[in-house]
Amino acid sequence: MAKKKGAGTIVIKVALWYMFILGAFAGYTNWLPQIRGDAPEAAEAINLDEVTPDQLSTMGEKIIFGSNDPLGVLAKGEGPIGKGQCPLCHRFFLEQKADRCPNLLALPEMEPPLLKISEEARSHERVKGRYEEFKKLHANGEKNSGIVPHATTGGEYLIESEYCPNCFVVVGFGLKGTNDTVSPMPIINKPPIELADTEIVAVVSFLQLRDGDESKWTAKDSWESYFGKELAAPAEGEGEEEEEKPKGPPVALGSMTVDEIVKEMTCFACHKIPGVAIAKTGMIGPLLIEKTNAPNRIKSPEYKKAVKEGKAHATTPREYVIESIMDPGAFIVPGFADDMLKDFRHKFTVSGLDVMVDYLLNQDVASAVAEGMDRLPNEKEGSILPPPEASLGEVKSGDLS
Amino acid sequence: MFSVNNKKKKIGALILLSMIGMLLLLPFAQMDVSAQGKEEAAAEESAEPAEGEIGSKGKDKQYGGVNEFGIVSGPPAPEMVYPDSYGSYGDYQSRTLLWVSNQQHLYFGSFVLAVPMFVFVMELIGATQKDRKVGKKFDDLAHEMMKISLTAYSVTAILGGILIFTFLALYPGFFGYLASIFKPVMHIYALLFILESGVLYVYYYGWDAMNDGNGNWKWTHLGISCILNAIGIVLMVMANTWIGFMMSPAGVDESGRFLGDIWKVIHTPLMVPIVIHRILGNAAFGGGVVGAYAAFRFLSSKTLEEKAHYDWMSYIAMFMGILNLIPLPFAGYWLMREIYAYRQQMGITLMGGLLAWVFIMQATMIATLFITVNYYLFQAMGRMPGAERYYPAFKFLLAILVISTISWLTPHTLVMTPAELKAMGGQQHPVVGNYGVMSAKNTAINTMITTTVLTFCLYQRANRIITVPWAWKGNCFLILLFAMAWVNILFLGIYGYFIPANVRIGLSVPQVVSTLTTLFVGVAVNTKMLKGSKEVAPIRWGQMSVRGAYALFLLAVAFTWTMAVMGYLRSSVRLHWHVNEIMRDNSPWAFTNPLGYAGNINSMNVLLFWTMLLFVFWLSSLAAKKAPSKVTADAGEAVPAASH
Amino acid sequence: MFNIRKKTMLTQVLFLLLALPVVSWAGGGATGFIDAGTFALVIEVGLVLGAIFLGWIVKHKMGITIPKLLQAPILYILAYINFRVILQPPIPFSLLAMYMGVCTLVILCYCTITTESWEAFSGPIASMLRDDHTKAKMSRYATFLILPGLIAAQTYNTMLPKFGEPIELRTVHPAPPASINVHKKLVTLQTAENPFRVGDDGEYLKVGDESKYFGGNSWTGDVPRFLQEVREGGVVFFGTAGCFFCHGDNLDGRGPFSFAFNPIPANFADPGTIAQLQETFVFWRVAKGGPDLSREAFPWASAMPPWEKHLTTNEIWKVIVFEYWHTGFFPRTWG
Repeated sequence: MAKKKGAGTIVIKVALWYMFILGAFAGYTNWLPQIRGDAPEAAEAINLDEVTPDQLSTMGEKIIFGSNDPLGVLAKGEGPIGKGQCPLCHRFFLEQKADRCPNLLALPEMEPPLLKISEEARSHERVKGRYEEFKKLHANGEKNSGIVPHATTGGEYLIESEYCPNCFVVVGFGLKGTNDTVSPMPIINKPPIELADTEIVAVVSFLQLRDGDESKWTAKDSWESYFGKELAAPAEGEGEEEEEKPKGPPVALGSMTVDEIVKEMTCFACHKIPGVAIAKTGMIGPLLIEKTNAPNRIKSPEYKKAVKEGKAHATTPREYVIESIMDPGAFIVPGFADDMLKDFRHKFTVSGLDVMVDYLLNQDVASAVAEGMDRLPNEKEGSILPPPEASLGEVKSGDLS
Repeated sequence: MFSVNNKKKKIGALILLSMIGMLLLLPFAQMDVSAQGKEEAAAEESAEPAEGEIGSKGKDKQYGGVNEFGIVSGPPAPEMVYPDSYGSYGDYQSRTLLWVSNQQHLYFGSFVLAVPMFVFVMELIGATQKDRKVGKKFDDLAHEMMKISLTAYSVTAILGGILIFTFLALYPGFFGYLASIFKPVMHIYALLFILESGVLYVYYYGWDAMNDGNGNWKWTHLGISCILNAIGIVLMVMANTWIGFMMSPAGVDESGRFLGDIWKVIHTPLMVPIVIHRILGNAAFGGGVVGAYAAFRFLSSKTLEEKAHYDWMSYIAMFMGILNLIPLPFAGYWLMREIYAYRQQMGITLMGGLLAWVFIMQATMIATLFITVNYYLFQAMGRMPGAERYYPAFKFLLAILVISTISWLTPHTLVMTPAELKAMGGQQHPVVGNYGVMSAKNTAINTMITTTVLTFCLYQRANRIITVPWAWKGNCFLILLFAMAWVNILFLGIYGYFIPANVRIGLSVPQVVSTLTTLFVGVAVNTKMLKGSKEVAPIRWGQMSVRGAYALFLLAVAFTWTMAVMGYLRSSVRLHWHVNEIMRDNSPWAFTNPLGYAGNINSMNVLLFWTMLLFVFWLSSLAAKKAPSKVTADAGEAVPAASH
Repeated sequence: MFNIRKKTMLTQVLFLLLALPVVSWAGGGATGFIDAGTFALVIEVGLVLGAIFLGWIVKHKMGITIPKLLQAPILYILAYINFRVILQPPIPFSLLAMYMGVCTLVILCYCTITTESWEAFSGPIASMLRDDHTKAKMSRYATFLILPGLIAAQTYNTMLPKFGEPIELRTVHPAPPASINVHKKLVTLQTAENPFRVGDDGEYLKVGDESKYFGGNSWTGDVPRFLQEVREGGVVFFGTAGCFFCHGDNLDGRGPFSFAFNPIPANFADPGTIAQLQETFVFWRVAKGGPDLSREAFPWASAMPPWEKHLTTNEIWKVIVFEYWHTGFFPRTWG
């Protein structure tokens, strides 16, 4: 093999060898699984239309005070200061000491009259007169935020003052030596406070709703008209509510009480069940007094017929009740239609079913009568109540209506 | 031109050279916010003028503690909008075009960075050799390597230009932003490049003039080589900082505003491991390229002298490549670890998620490299009389290599049909599933490296009969050493299944220590034993089998291809971000291409690179034809295998 | 010459000595000290060494020299039998192809490793291609008939419509998001810690330190804090959430329902699942379930429910503590 060859032959041979290797590598990569990684969709804007002004206001309160009971915190001798840190400088309550920045008191019942003016009302005055000077001053954009003052309404003013505190400085509250042209307030949407746009809208909502008049709420619209774009909520990380037991599909667990099971399983929508507060008005299914009903039902010829047809299988009252819940179609109480929901077998745990069945098997005529309940007119077994003249009965007619 | 008689001129030139260097360092001293205003005139001006907010306090995206805040000194990263912020050539993937130009520039850049490193080592060996004949041989080798890289150097510059034009044409918004961030160092980069050229020309053309004897000028020449390498490495580090910033941005705030401290921008969380990994990778790659060149010349040589020279040269180049290849996996693990520490999400995307199959490809490539190296050494022993003794050992070594390869290649996620899934009884195979995790892979690579070291030890003693009186003890020691290393590696690998991951990562340290012990202690003892040993016969340089030469080609292509595939991996892990978590890629090419596409592009890139390289080689062979060959080595001349 | 021979023998003996620790481990495997995977590795090593040893016996003791050209297919078939038959349960075709690919390359290397073996290997091929005697001619004709035949068969096989279920390229552990929102709380997966990974002092327990609780009885009266959390996690696993229906009593993914699903539920006892993942990753998987998986992980091919709809955050964290405790694995950390 070591014969002498021309360089040209060698080049071709080596080139072929290279092609072979490269082809093998590329072929191998093509043989391996091919997964294309698509870029995720840009985060969707959450529909802020669904949030009520009140909810926003509550959220704003939390941002400002770190609590929805700021007075309670004050009473404990602590400062109610939230993420927004506003109360460090602004005064929201008479009990609070803060005078570095304009007060934001808004308590209509307060004396002296000056304090009666809410911040919402005050904001409309801010954009007049002296505001023009600031417009001129920052005609090329305020130097920290880049914003040119252009608020036209009170709501826009409130929004603007969070993004650009220097865009209007209240007389007497500017930094010393600046002739009230520079505000000591930080830009709220920047570090370190760094509130999101929605949070700022929430804070403004709180200010606007402080005197309880929802018609004055413009925060979201003002934000949008001020910036000329739609307010988009951040994708996640909002809200800091305490952990709740999460809601899933309804399930009946052994750890639940009968009342809870009846509520979760919505039995009360159709049945009357003695001793269960919410289940007194059902007019679609039979009265559930199974200590009385179940033994009779099993013996009834209709049930025997169902057994013969292979539909029903219960031999004891307990089995009957279980069967009726798990497989409602097995036997239809005469006079009723087969319209009970069929999915309880997926909703009851075994222990939950035990709780429910035990309870139902303890209900008899007496317990129903004690609460003034009666069978429906279409139940074949007939009324369990004594005749009217024996009169236990102021209650009944009302109940049945 | 330098000449020995004109000492004053030379000293003057050197002083001038160092003055240029000093001047270039000046901008570093000025690197603060106030200085930036003055630098605005620089051509690399940001696409958008800075406005507003400058001067306010900004929170750093990455740094915490004392360095958490900085002064906002630049505009936020612009929101990229398609098609306004992007250019395109028809419907073709802009990113692929950029990919190709980037890859070509990187290949040539790596090559011209790596070659001076070798040349420095070669020249140093040449200068320190007592045997002047051998010394001259190394010196000539170094000179020849330098000659190859000289043409490649200008190709690198041209490709760099093409790369910038591609950036400007296709990704103007992105490039503008990066330029605005790196403004303070960009022109340093450019100036260093000029300096590098100057030093390179002085170094290359001054070679013969400064090499007229054993005088001090040789050392001055080596000093220039040192400067050349230093500049080269600084250049590479600077180019790397862009990548580091794109992967793990720091020194900017959440929206990408520059916070005034360029050092933070440079020193991102991933920058140091990437730099280390890349230097080693470059050096290994350079060895591969020079080896392939030598192998090509070896095959096409007509005379035995030439053949002997190129055989020897390819061996040396291969050896240098392997020396850098061996620590490379460890540097890779370190980089991976840093990536995980930076963002778990990024780590899992790489190792277990979207890009996991690329790692299977990488394992294939590394396994190919190590098997090829061993195969080359086996072939090389064919030209060493007396090596026949060791032939029976080859198959055992191969067996160890194949077992390691198989356990390394086993993917964590298996591709299977639902029927196969049922038959296997789960996503993880109870037996080979154990090879899918890091513990097994660490063990496999360490075993492979240790095996390679053992092969090299056999190679060293192939044509020698050991005569030292303690030969028996030495052999026992070596056998014990390798056995212990293997046992230790295997034991730790198995033990790794029973301990927490953070401790397991720690285990790779003793594994690596085992491997490195065999490398340093094993080779040292082996070399010591060979002292005064009797030669069965001299190495028959030039008589290596053709298969060995082809193995060297495979080695070179595998190096090149591995670089390409790992580049694809590193770039893809940013997913749909230009700058991770700061600047989103909103072009239609924001998706991550599948591996097969990457494989095709990589093969195409490698082919393009080697075609261009062939041109470069051809140019250098033209020059060689002009001057009579300087080859001095003749067949059978005693060049010890382990003289370095 | 004698010297060299002696050394050859020596080398071989020493290589066999190398196998000693391997053999001892094999013994360990038999007595249950090491797991199935390691044991299989040892068996593999043993098989390879055994094959080499067998070859040595055949060559040196029995004096039969198998031609190199024949050795290659024999080795290849042995490797195939090993991966297809000996290795159980059967590995998927993709893996088999990978293994056989490696074997092909290495066998090629083996056949060409020295000049002699290269000549022994390529000589007959060259002779078949160019020699003029009958034997060469016949084998030439045969080869040129069989080769295209094989290619035709392969082509036919490829083109033949197949009715098997398609291969799924499901990524089992896709990259998690940077943060998730569970019960209106933001959990940053990079930094979040399991609040129930606590030591006796109520402080966060470093990963690895919990090993002292492994195998502990959490039902005795005076149990350490950690074991209490484990117990509550167990209640979630076996009670509230009923994880065991799918993930099994032993957390091995073999619950009574498991084989109703495709893919079957994760096997936590396998070192490739929770042992490779951070606790926060597991938290993400439990809380968000299959629907939140990324595209490459086939969110439609996971039966895992988003448990945040049924469990509290605390219950999820506790069940994670339980899972790690029960399997004896440690979550991945990067500290």
